[in-house]
Amino acid sequence: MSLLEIEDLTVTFQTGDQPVNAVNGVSLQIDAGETLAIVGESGSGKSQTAFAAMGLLARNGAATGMVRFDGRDLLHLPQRELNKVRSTEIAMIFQDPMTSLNPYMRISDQMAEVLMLHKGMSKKQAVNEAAQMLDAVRIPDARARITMYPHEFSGGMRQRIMIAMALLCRPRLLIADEPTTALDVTVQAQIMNLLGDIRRDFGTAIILITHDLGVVAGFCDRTLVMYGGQIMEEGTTEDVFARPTHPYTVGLLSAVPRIDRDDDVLATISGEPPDMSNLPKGCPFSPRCAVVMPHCPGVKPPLTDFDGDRRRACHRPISEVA
Amino acid sequence: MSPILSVQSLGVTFDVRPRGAWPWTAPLKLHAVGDVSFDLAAGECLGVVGESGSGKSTLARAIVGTVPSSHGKIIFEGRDLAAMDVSTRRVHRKDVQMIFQDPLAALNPRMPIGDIIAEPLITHFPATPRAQVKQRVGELMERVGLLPNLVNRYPHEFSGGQCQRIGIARALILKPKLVICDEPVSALDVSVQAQVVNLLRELQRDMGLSMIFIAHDLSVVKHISDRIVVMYLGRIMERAASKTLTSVPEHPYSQALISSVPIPDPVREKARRRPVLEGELPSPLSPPSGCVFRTRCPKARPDCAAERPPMIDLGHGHGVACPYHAPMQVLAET
Repeated sequence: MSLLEIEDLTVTFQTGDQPVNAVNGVSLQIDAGETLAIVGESGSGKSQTAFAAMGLLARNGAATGMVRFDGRDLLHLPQRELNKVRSTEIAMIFQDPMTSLNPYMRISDQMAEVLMLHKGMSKKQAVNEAAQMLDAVRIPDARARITMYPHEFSGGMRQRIMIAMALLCRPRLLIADEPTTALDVTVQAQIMNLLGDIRRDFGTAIILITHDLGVVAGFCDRTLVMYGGQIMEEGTTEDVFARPTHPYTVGLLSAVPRIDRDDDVLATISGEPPDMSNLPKGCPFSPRCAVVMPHCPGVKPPLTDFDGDRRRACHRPISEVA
Repeated sequence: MSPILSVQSLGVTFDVRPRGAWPWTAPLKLHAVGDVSFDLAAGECLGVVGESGSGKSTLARAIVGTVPSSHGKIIFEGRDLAAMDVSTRRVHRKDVQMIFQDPLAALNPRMPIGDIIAEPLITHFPATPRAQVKQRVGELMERVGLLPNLVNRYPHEFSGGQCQRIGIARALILKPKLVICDEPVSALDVSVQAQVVNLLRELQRDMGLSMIFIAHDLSVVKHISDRIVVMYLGRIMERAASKTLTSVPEHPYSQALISSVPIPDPVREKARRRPVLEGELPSPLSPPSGCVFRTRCPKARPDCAAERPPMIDLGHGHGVACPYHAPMQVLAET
């Protein structure tokens, strides 16, 4: 049985003008210990999918569908029980570690709070445990630095603290929302190595939400590509990168400049990112698609299985374009 | 051929007053850029890479003149910009234009984009007839891929990629000789980033622009630049042709930096050997003695602390500031 299962998830935001659908019928699942990448550009709905699953939507947002974690439906769980799941079984880390840490609290207090609340530890025990976890995420001199405030750490160190905090209750699933986007490449490499070690040592399943195809390539078992709030394509990472079939995936992969290649001109996807309040009724990518057909903007392509473990939503996948 | 721009041992120092210091105590000196020298040939694109805090943006600002340099020369077309007084320098500023990182923040939200693009022209040539200004704006908008009939719209009505096109049009209206791009595509989505990178490259070639392209994304820099300069803590570690630098870098820092760049290919990415750099950038307020990189360098030896390593010339414009340099194949063969 899968650890987390999302079925037909739709997220709608009430805005001043009209309701906006940020996520449109997304279904996915992740097994224990697995790594899944959700790849997409801004506005693709990749973050809102995770926020909805965690019950963290903004006040004007509402989610419908089903989110089942270990047999429980998270969308309809009472607040108290949801808090329990969120603390001890699913943890989340965000792009900007500074805004997720309380600037007025010492790291020791912030981290101990989690353990005292959820595990009923004494303060002393909790701080001790927290220091051990900081050691595990390789913060040098953790015992001395645990009493410092967030602003006294660098960006990379803050992200390590966030990861340590997320791991305190040994969650079975870690959702990492653009965890390295704000960091330099050398620090990014350190953090991705750390996440890899954590997965190995603790058996934590990880959902990595990112726009960076390079990071995905080195880290994730499976990759899911989103655009305009919908799933475009899914499969094992090796497979999706080697044989992309959706025109968007193909375009995205060839638009990334690669350090190991000498392309003269980058392939581009024409047009602009989608306007979420004004999506076509059919395929959201159709206005930018190079191989669009007349019925694409009007008829939504169903998400269909192919080749065993792959899925895609396209009327005219690249593999069938002669 | 003499270079269009020659930067000679340029330094930029900021005064930093520590928190709680007395007003009469001397401020600390932060050396954001120290002893940077390079030449830029006409029509060439030079990439500048480095982590945050490496001084690459400060270098750009010093060349444009928005921060004062503390020592060294910035020789542009034979004249030292750093030694000029403000009003002489202003005249030269029209030849050196800049494109910024955050496209929306760089545009005045209360000005229609036509006025934004025309502003440099009106500032430097106030006598230009209105009809001519309008025509130039129209031409440029078309050139950068914007519909000229959008001229009366405001910046918030455009997407990030379009805003960056507006910024490019504004930078080019004076027909500058040198354009400095500071992280021009890092705020854009991949699909739009490719459009803007292609546009910049095309404009650079067609208009014969000299360009300094600053970015932290090495893949983008490699793609657009002829040569690349690697900076660390305000100093140049290595400079070489982009292909040489990204395939067989000599400096241990360049090697670590390039091997940290992820490649969107699962097979190659998972098979890569990767010397991960430990630790983070030291404080620029108290940089390490000798070689600034030695605290994180896998090859550091005791004598690295003694004196700053000079730039060693390896020929073909390849220079490396490390006595223990050695070529390393950082990317497996394709």
